[in-house]
Amino acid sequence: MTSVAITGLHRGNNPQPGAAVAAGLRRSFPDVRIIGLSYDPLESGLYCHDLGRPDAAYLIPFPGAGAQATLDRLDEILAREAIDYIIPCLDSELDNYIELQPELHKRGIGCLMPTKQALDDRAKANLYDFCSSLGVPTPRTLAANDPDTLAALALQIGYPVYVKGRFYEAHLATTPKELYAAFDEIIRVWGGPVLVQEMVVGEEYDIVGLGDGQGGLIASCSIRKMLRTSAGKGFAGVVIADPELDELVARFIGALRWAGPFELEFIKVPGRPHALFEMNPRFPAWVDFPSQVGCNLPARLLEQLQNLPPRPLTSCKPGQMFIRHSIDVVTDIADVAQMTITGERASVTADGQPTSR
Amino acid sequence: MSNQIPPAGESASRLRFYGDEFVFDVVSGMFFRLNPVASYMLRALDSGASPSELPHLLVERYRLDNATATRDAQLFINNLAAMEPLDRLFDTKAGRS
Repeated sequence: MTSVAITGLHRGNNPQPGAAVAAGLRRSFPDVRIIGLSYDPLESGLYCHDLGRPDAAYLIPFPGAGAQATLDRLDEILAREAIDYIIPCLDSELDNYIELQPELHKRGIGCLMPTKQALDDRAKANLYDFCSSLGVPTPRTLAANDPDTLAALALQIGYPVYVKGRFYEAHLATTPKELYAAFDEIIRVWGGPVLVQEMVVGEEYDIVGLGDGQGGLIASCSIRKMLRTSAGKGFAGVVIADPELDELVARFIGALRWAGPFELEFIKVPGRPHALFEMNPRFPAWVDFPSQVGCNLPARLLEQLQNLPPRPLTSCKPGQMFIRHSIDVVTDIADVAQMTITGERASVTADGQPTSR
Repeated sequence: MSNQIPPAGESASRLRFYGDEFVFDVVSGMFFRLNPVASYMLRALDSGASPSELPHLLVERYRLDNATATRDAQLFINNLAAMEPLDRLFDTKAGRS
């Protein structure tokens, strides 16, 4: 049995991708064993019973604790549980897993990661310079480690601006007072640098894809976000086919020689070309949508990791769409207690049987 | 000219018409509710008519006077151009996947 560890199991109002990746894997590999690596006993995916459920789950230290802390915990888990592959699903984990690749390899754990250089080139603080060198439009973005410098940079760009953390979080600031408040909130949670970005208003387009590490694109799916939450998260999307957007994606991924999953986020002002405002180094939370219409990218990644002959992927057809639908997952406080006290739990079916093995 | 305008649902371009009141643009992902006159003009442009031909088509189809047809066509074109440059919207080669 193949065992795949995934992270990013919370599917609240800012859903993480882990459960969607697990569901995609199960659609093509029904016997796969999913190991959930969790940061919080209240991550909702720990308690679901659908295709996105983990068969077993373990608490792990936050990425900020460093690569060695992650490795130490993985070694403890490996004493209990085989892990064949890891698919990190959160931006903040990539630095650690890239550093740990040789150690993971020694333990027989496979993963497909971009190079450190590629990860840094697409980082929010470097994206503007990298895009400029490629002729890929992008909103002007500047970075600072103190609020006074950031306020001065915001004046260069002109208000209103977005104040963004290096991994997550963005606040709209229309005045210096709002910028200072946003800086304080972001630096407290995510550390520096804090970014200030030109505000561009338009339609948002997302592309999920897999890079082959040689400059090529294995497959991708492009959508327009039809519904957005107050945090800008897509809650509905429709497949599009735009050759101009495809060319920008190919140029950007080709220059990075990106290996593994990615999500590109573009914004389009009418009459102007698409502008790339973010690249996430992992699958997005909506990745199970293309999986359900024949373009199963998590399964394609696992085939690549296993050196299996790839099954053909279907191109997503323009007009196919998804609307996210929130549900209530039912569990018992005993399950939360077990996860909190022991840092691990096995999922069971409704009749109390283990979900795999 | 009006005979060359394909009926709803038969366009080979980037625009997909669903009846006379709904159109989906496969390139931008935008969709719009239309009135039948706007739908008629959009399908005319989609099948190769130039913007300058629209007033004449409206006169022929709806028996409008020339001034009203010209005004209605111009307002429609202005609305379209605000959403997407017309050369991109009606470059049929770019719209085919």
